[in-house]
Amino acid sequence: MDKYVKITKLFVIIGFKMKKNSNQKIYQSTREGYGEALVEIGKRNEKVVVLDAETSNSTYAQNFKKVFPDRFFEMFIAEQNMVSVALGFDKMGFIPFLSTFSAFLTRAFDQIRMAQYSNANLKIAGSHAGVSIGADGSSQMGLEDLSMMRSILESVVFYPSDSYSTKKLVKIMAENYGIFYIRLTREKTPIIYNEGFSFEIGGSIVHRLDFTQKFKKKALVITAGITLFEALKAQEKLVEANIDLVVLDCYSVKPLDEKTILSLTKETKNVIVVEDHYPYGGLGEAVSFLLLKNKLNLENFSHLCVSKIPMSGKPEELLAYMGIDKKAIIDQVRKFF
Amino acid sequence: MSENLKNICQKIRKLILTSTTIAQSGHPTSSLSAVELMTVLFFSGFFNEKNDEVIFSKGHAAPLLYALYAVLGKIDEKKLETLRQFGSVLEGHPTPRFPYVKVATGSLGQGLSIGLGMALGKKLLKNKGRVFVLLGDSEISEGQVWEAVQLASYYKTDNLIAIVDINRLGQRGQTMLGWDLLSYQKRFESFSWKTFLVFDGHNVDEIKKVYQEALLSIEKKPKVILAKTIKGKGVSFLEDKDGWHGKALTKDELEKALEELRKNDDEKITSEDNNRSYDNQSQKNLEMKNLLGRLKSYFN
Repeated sequence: MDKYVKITKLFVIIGFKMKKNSNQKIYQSTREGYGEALVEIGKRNEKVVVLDAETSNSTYAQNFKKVFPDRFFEMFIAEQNMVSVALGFDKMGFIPFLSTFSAFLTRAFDQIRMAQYSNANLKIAGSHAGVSIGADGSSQMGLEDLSMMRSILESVVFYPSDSYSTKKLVKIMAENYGIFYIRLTREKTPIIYNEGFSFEIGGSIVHRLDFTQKFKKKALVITAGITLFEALKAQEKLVEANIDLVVLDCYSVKPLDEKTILSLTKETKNVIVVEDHYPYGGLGEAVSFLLLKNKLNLENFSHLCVSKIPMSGKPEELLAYMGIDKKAIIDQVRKFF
Repeated sequence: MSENLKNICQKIRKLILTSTTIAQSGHPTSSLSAVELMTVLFFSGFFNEKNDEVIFSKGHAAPLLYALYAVLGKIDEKKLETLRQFGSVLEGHPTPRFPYVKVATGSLGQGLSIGLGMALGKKLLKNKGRVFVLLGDSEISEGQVWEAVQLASYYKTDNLIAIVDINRLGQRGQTMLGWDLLSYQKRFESFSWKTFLVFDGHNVDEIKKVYQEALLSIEKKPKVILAKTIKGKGVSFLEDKDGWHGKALTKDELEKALEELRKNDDEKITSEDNNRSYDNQSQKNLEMKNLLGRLKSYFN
């Protein structure tokens, strides 16, 4: 495990630095990744249909529409209808992907809830998640979606951080039966993964800097999506202070990579969960329940999340205001030691 | 032919009433109002099992759904006596545990959207089948119904046929429009649906005629059949009465109701004067005796 982690981490650093110095495009939002992935799976499987509620130029579902106009269905601004229509497509043997802003999916919760009793095969994408959308303000921010989608009994919930992992996860969604949710970010984020990484239901990626593992002060950040990059920045800073901050990209919010979380928690004993979501029902509660269930002996546990009513602003201002940015993570770790 | 349909309707009424009384819960009156609408659909050759889909958006009419499949011979009639019991596939509201149902309903206002998805899917598959959706009049208050209505006409889903059981009564009283069929018609037509009216939703001949018209229509529009019906139809003390929503009859009430249905049968039969109806009559008496005997075992 550790060997693998070291190797993959090396990939990250090398890959990251190399790309930074080249002319290659290294920033792409996960929603753009979603759009490109739809086209890929659409080519491979003619049963894939795509539905979107008048947001396809924001969710990038429009990419699919351009290549497969017959298999794209504009649902207009009617999210409840969209979810049930998708269920109808499913029952005719199609694989429906449906997308809109994660905030607006919440109004279709009853339809999603009912779909589980129809043994549904639905692939739901919620974009513009979290306060990191910035300027558009609170009405457009999905801050309850992880809670909502985790509460569906047999759902799978993904929250990728970069466009590469998004594409891999969308492929997994297409290839596996059931209700899947993928949470997408508006902001462009650096592409940090490549062929050297594998993604799976219940998987995660460990990011380490202290390969020698000689540091005595250790902490673990469990996060996903946009805050992963805040954690990685904090990691780089803390290593200078001889603090080993292990960062876990917990892209599979449900099911969790229990084995990795438990082993890293045992190793570090100081855990911070960071998420761009309200405190209730998201990654933080999922992780804390897992740790409690396994009676893990912790020295510290902290949950950094959106615990104030948000407002408009720049993404970085909002991440700072909510205390889920690099600085907040560093401050929290410092409090531990 | 229509005599036969009427007999099936009476039979289904008895099954609805009996199964809900045995379960001591369920929605007999909401099931009774749609008996003719669904019986004509299933037994007059309008519904093609291989290609067509049917969704009970008013999922609380589950006792009717199960009774139809019992009369079709798909499930054993005795199985109806397990309605709503733990482990039975005949759940209070339909779920795909019941093998002839693809989607769960019961949270109102969702069936038409699901039907629309199926209708669009069928077009994409170049499948000629149709999708029938039975709606209650009360559930039309749900905004989602109108989301589906406008999108269906946008996509010209002429293979989608909504059947609205307008029995006037909701759970606690009259709906906003009551039996105002013309207002329903105006609303659907303003969304570019092709509408068909059934003024007596318990007249099998009228229903047949309207279904024929609807299915022969070549307009590229979704279709809606708006039928005026009576909640609790067939049992005098249930018909069009407030306070009977979601209530099963007691054993005594059931016996009274069955007796009434039997009398109606007798009247019909005495009006015919051949030996076969005499046989039918004795057959029916025997059936009734057996049923009442079985009922006793549930309540003693």
